[in-house]
Amino acid sequence: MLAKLLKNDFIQTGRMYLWVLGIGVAGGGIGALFTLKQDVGTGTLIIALLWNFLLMLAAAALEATAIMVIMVSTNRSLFTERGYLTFALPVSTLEMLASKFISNVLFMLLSIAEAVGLVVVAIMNVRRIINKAADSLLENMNMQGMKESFSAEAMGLPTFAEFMQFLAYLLVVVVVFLILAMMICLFVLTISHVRPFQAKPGLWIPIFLVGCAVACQQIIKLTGTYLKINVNLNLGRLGAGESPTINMVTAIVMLGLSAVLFFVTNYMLSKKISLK
Amino acid sequence: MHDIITLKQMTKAYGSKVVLENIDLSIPRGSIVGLMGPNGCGKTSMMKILTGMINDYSGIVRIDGQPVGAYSKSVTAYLPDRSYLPQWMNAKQCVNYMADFYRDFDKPKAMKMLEAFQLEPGQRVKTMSKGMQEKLLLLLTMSRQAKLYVLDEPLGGVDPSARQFIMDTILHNRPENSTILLSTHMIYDMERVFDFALMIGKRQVLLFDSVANLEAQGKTLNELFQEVFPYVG
Repeated sequence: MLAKLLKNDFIQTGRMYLWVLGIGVAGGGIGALFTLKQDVGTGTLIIALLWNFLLMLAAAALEATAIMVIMVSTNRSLFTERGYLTFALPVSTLEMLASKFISNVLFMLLSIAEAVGLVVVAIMNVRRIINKAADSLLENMNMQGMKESFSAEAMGLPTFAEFMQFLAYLLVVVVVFLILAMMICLFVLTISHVRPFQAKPGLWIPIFLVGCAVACQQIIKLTGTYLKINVNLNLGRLGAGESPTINMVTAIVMLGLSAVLFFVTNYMLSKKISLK
Repeated sequence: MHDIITLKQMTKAYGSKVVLENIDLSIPRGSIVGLMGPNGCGKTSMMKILTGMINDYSGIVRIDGQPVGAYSKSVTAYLPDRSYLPQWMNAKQCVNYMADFYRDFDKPKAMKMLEAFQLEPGQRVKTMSKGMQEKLLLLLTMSRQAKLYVLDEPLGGVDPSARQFIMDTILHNRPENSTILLSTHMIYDMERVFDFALMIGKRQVLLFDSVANLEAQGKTLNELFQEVFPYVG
């Protein structure tokens, strides 16, 4: 049954979500078109840089949109009138929750992959366009000898290999954070439909979100204190230059918290739900 | 063999407001039970509890001897008082969805009923009228070979000919020995169909008896309803 639930969850969320992915891919494609031009003048350079800068902003916007789309889709299928269809299915709440969790995490991973892809494409586009612009400029000024000084490498932009190395490290961190973030979202979404919180979900959702974030931070910190290690809470630096023990403890605590939230959410879904 | 529905000391409250209190009830298999009561007496709440839409109650609820869960939902077909289908789906996709999840769903029968109900398989739910959506929901429910059908006001707000059509669909498509729990305010139209009458109000079961017994007392269901729930103006 889990496979069937997953199939349907993918179809339902995918329907709302694929257009977001499509826009990102189209944006990346247009950005790449600029690099096909052989002679790059000042105008093309400015437009290309601007476009690729926008592409990076779009990558960030994509993540925010992805979370919203996924949560709206989950809320619709569980707690609106469509909940009458979902809750009537001959499946356990554990399967129902697992299906939502897995499909949401995979959709988020997909969106993160696309966002990272957009940033990679934008950086590579900028590198190529700067190199071409430098070539054109130096050719016009008969100063080909100075090409090295004006190249993208000389300007400190990362190479493809450097970027891929960064991505590999980032992937592990992202997956762990994503699992916890998704469980917090599912927990908050569920508890906002449980009495007495369901009366004003608009009020309770932000309170619970902030509460969850603070609680997670404190639990990770306390675990670190208990284990006498300085747990690094700087998300951006997790894994970079810190000891493997610290990173592993943080990851285990986060996965443990996710598991606790999963079972609490499952309990609420099986014992505390009253569909309107 | 277990009764199809067993409730013991079942209580449901919305906050401080108790709607059903310490309900004890056993409904035998193979019967058609009319669930009646004034508005707000807890009919829909009881149906939601039986079908798993509400699970924050106290007491014991058993369907076919099992607590409400994956098994009970696999033997219960529920027709709520609202449209729950995803608006983007078309009629055929709805049929496929149900066939995907319910082993007792008779897909060929559902496709035949689509034709009989003059519903286009490719028509999306969002483009259907309210009446068409109700027909689709009814056929999806009655295409199952369930042990228990829980039908929440299937006759509410429809004209007399549609009412007849709905009742015929329910009665002709119901498997032998299945139980139907049907809530309605159309007591006069329905009393010939019911085997049992269940009246709830004031948080309690006020009457649960076979229609044959009640008729032996020389009273129609309609008259009994007036007696049990005298109108307070």
